Amino acid sequence: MFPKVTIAATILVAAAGITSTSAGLLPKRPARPAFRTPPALELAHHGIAVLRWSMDNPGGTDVHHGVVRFGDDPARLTQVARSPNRINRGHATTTFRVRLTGLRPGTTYYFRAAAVDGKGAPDGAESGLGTFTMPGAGERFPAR
Amino acid sequence: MRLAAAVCLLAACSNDPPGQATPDPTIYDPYPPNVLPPDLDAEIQRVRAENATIFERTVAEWHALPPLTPVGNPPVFQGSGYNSIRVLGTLMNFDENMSIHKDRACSFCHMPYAGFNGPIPSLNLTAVAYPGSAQYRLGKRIPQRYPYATFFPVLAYNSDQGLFFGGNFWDGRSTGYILQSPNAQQAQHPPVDPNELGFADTACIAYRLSQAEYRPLFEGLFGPGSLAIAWPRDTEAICATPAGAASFGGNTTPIELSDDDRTKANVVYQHWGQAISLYQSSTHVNAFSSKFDAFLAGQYTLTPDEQAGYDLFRGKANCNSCHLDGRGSAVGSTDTSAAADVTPPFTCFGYANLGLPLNPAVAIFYESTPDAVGFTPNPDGFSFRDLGLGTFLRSGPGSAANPNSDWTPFAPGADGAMQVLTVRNVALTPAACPTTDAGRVDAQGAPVPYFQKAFFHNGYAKSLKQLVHFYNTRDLFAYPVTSGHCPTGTTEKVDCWPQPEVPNNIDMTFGNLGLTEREEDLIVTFMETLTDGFTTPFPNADTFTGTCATGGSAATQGNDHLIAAPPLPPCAADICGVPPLPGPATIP
Repeated sequence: MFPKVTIAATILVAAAGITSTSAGLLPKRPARPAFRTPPALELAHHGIAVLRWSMDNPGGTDVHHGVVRFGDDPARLTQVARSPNRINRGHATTTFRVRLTGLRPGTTYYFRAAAVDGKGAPDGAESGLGTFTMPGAGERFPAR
Repeated sequence: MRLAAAVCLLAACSNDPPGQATPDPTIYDPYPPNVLPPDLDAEIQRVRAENATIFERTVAEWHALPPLTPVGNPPVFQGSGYNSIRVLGTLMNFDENMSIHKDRACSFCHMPYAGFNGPIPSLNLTAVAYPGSAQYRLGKRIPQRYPYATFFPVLAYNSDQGLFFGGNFWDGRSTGYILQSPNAQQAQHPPVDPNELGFADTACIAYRLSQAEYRPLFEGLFGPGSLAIAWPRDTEAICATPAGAASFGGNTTPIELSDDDRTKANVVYQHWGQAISLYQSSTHVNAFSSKFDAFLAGQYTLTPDEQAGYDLFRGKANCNSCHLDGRGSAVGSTDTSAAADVTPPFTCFGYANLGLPLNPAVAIFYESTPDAVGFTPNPDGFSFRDLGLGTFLRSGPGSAANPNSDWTPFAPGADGAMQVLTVRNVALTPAACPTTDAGRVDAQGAPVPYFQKAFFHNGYAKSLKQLVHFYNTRDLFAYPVTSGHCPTGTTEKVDCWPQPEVPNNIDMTFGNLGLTEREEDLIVTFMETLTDGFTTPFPNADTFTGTCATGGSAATQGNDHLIAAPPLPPCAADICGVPPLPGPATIP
């Protein structure tokens, strides 16, 4: 059985503002980096899930952190997962991946995702409310 | 069974080749079978002989140096000063007398033909750390490569980035704060590391230098009285007794010197670090002579596979977000940028927690009982966890004291972080064994001999293929098991990666890169273009007299030497119980 993966709410999309590195210019930090691929479940197993999304390269610090607030009640996203991701100054977009742990098999979780720079300053808007369901005990997503 | 082949623990009796001896009770051997390889004693002697070859070559080079003539003020040894210090640093680096039993040089763990990695294939396959002069005390990580380490700046916390940059060693403990050179300061650690050269007192270096045949070179450079120290009568005995011996009672200056002589010995110790660092910064180590350097200079065209690997390295695989290549990047388009730097370091000089599993083959886990002189290398046993930079920031066990308390609050964010090494020379091997990876065949279909290395700080990966595969699939094939316990139907390092040793701060830039098998191989092909010695021979890389390996597969290389981790006790209090505490997760 595959877990249900949906993004329930509209993802906030800001102005494009794709950073260019042509002509040797330093990458410019977009005023408000936009989500390019909405947060979604990349893989899940054994109480661990990885959520993945991409957004305009936020520039600034070398390391940014994907931050996911989550919980099994959409009105109470009380848990927080935070993972370092390194930007590549030559890439127009940055992929964020966040590792969530301590999840229960077969449980549906709700989340909102965002990113912050190395000093904790927000990179842009938070995503809308998303949801995913953990695979059953001993199962993996994607299935192997 | 290892015999008393190389050294005695208590006395300076080991400068001779091994004989047919009976087991020596002073040998420290707390290891279960398969941690130390059966050919270890023979391999130690092989490396010592190779080391002697380089030392003798360098002695000849010293005798051929022009005289030292100071010119101007401040005086400069015009024309000859640079090479004279380089030669001095080389002599020091390859001098076995700079260890308690006069049987280990710095280079014992860092031979040129291995890219200055560990030179013993069977040890790289098993315990990964190397035996020091007090046999068999071993360290906790693989020997770190010398090349390009001198480019790391003094350790600093960049508050704009929220990151540490610089330093030397996997955990950054050589900050460079005094000598303003992390590399020079790095050279000051192994002489007094109980598991390495093993001196109890830093002054033992000045003492042994005062007896060295190249003493005139040292004094010519640093002054005729620089080694003139009134040594107490027990100096020889102290310098032949392993650091940590109970008889020292924790005293780190057991040689009783006058204040003036202690100061003089300290200055000698600074020159020791600086001279070795000059050697390591010279073209004898930082050669910039790889295919890739020739490519940047417009003198070599990458093959289609090398170019494809390079495109993946800076594109889909995103390797150059940490291993900076001096050029732009592109995903899904052609990069037309010019090189902004023709000597790219292939490191960001930073730190990252790669989420590697605990490697239960690392010798340090077993060194939890006292040796014959009462020293216990790792009282924590399997409760030891390698938090890398995090442990250093807390001045924790197995590291060094953190000299800047302003850094300590950042420890939880640095737990598990190890230095990002340059990719340069990761693939350097002896000419007779031209690859690190098993299973290669040449154009005629004949097997290509390989030289067994170990990769990552704990040597968990045994081939470059495994290294790239780890970055590619760490999260995809993750299992909540420890090494040696992958589920039936899976193969460790192929489609099963055991849980991270340190679950906090795991760098998620990689872990499910979506590379195909072919793309992984292409990245390895590109990494091999970073091996020095293409445009000019790599100095002293011709000394290997050991045996290459053949057969097997790079994907499963070394798996027949896996050691199953025992049930792990919780992380020790002197590591994980020291404020600021690790978080958010508890380190298991």
